[in-house]
Formats: sequence, C-alpha cells, structure tokens
Amino acid sequence: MKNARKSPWRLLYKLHRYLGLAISVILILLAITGIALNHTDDWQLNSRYIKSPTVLNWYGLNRPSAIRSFKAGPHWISQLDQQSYFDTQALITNSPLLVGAIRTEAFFVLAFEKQLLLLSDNGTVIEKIPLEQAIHSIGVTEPDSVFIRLDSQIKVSHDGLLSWQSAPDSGIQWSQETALPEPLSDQIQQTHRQHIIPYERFLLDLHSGRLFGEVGVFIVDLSGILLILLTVSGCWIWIRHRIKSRFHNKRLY
Amino acid sequence: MKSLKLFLVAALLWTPLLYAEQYLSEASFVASAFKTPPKPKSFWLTPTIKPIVQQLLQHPPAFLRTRYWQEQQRTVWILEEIGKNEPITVGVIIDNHHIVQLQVLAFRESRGWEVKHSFFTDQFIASTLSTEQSLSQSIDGISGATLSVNALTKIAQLALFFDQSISP
Repeated sequence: MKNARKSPWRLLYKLHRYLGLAISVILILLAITGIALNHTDDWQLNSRYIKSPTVLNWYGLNRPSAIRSFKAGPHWISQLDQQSYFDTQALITNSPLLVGAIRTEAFFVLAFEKQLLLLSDNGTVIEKIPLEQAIHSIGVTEPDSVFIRLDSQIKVSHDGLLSWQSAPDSGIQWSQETALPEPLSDQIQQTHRQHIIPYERFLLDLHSGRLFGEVGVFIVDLSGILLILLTVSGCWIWIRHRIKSRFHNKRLY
Repeated sequence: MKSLKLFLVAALLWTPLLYAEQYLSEASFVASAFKTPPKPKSFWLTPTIKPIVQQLLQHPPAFLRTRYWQEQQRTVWILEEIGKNEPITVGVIIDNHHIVQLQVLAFRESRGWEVKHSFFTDQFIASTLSTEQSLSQSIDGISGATLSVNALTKIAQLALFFDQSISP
C-alpha cells in the first residue's frame, strides 16, 4: 500500500488532476475570448465600444482629454485626441491636428494639418481634400472665398476648394481657437470616452493577458506551457492504461 | 499600475498611425496621367447616383462629392475605401472607359498591404464595367488580404461607374 502511494504513476495522476484544476478557469476564459475573436466581423466587435466606467478607468481613460475648438457660424467644431466633432456629432477618427474652421454660404470648411474637410450645413461630410503643404490657419472674406495660410504664402479658392491661387493677407477673418462652452465640453468628453475602446481590443487584451500588464502575459504564457504538460501527461496516462488493460485481458484468456 | 495604463492608452491611440504609409502623393499621380494636368472638376453624388454607389460599396458612401481630372477620353479618380478599419487611398486612370492604371497611394491598415504591389493591381488593367456594374475581368484574391482586395475592387468599380456617368 505504501509503495502504491509513492508510485510515480500515482504522482502523475495527481499532477494531471491538479494541473487541470489550476488552469481550468484560464483555459475557459481563453476559449471564450478566442471564439469571440474568431467572429469579430459577424458580431461587429470592432465597431461596438466598451461603455463600462470600470473598464474605461482600468485603461486609464478617466481624465478629460484636451479639446481644441473653433466656432464656425452657430456651430462648434472641436477635436479630442484624433477624433473631430461637429457640435456633439462625431466626424472623422484618426484626423490630423485641427487648425481652424470656417463657414461659407454653401458649406463648412475644417482645416487640419495637410487636409481640408468640407461639410454640409447639417455636418455631413462632402469631401476630404488632402494638401501637400501644412496648413497653419484658415480664414474667410466674402462668401465662398476661402483662404489658407501655408508655410510661406496665403492661398485663396473661389470655386468651392477645387483650385487655389496666391493671395495677399488683407481683410481676412482668420479662424481663432475658442474655449468650448462647459455643457458642450462635458457632453463631448463623455461621448468621446465611450467611443475609444472597441470590444475587439478589450477581448484581445484579455486573451493575451495584456489587460493585466506583464503579470497577465506571464500567467497566459504559463497556462500555455501547463496545457502542453497536461496534454502529454493525459496521453501518457491513457497509453499506460491501455497497455495495462491489454496485459490484464491476456492473462484472463 | 500607472505605467500599465499609459502603455495600454498609448498602444490604443498610436496603433493606426504606426501603419499609415503614403506611397505616392495625389499631385504626383495626377501628373503621371497627363502631359499637362488639367484643372480638377467635381463630381456630386446626386440622389440618382447615391443608391448605385451604395450598392457598389455595400454601405452608405462617406462622401457627397469627389474630384476628378479629365482630358478628352482620359479621366483620373482618387478614391478611398475602408479595408477593415482604415481607408485605403487609390488612384485610378481610365481611358475610353477602360482602366489604364490602378495604384495604391496610401495604405493605413495593419494587414493586407500586399495589394499595393503591381502583381495584384495589374489585374485591373483593361477592365471595363458590365451592365450589372461588375468588372469585366475576374480579380484573383490574396489570402489574408481579402478585405483590402474587396476595397480595391469596389474602388475600381466605382471609378468606372463615375467615368461612365460623366461621359456615357
């Protein structure tokens, strides 16, 4: 009896059992997140965002971001991080630095570094216009004449931003950065915070363990190694059991 | 804890920018299509055009106007379509309703960049648009770059459709 308890096979059985129990929770978590990540497009995980304040705080998104804002007619154009807004309506993500915004009779023009964005009266994107040179500011004079200040010159467009000519700097009302009214600022901060982390990103961080930093990655790596050991010990136990039962059957017949 | 949060936020905000890559400027592409580049013109997505564009893109268009350059039968279009998350900028030169050249000008996705190579884009040369609004030539996909391939195919269809709309 004493020998049986100390047998290496009994030790293997015990090791297999406790290894399985130890990593079962992590393996279930990896399986669930893995299945979900396989269906990112089907379940629109990259276009649905985490809204939980706890998770957002865990990511360190609990502080308000700096807002750049410009008044264009009755509307406010603002930018947080790389997301731009028309009042509270989200416009384009990953936008370069917003340098100004103006309103003409026909549309709104937002100036970013090396890009202009044309908007309709209700904030619908009409066209994105890339420029070769960096824009420093945008201004307007008479209706439909849009001015941009580049590195060493000022250019004007009279045809809805299709072509540009050099122009003198006289009588142009340049767009100036203006502080956003507090209620609007709070609303944009709240909206912005809830549109940063898609479910796909959260699941990827959970699956890889990165959500918990280096410790999380270490635990996931360790679970992988333990799973390999578990598979090997499982196969070993099965082979031994099979050989033993064959030998036992031979002795019977 | 603070460094972990900083790492997560930095990784989150900078990932799209790490992959942003411009291969050719819009002006250089237009200049390559004409001896003397003409002035750009604008093409509006009117209420009759918009449903067809939506059908081609399989989603509502993200723009209402696009610019193009035209000299006789030759037109040049610079269009954008999202592959998976980020827009891919593509230039298309069309002559007499046939694609002469299709080139990726800027690629911002983290995967699927193989579509920028000429072994893929050359497949579009000589394509026309059928009456069912599909390309006359079949385009072989690239495994692992399906969404980018789809985006370029949609842009080719869109450019040919716009070209036909301005000079049937």
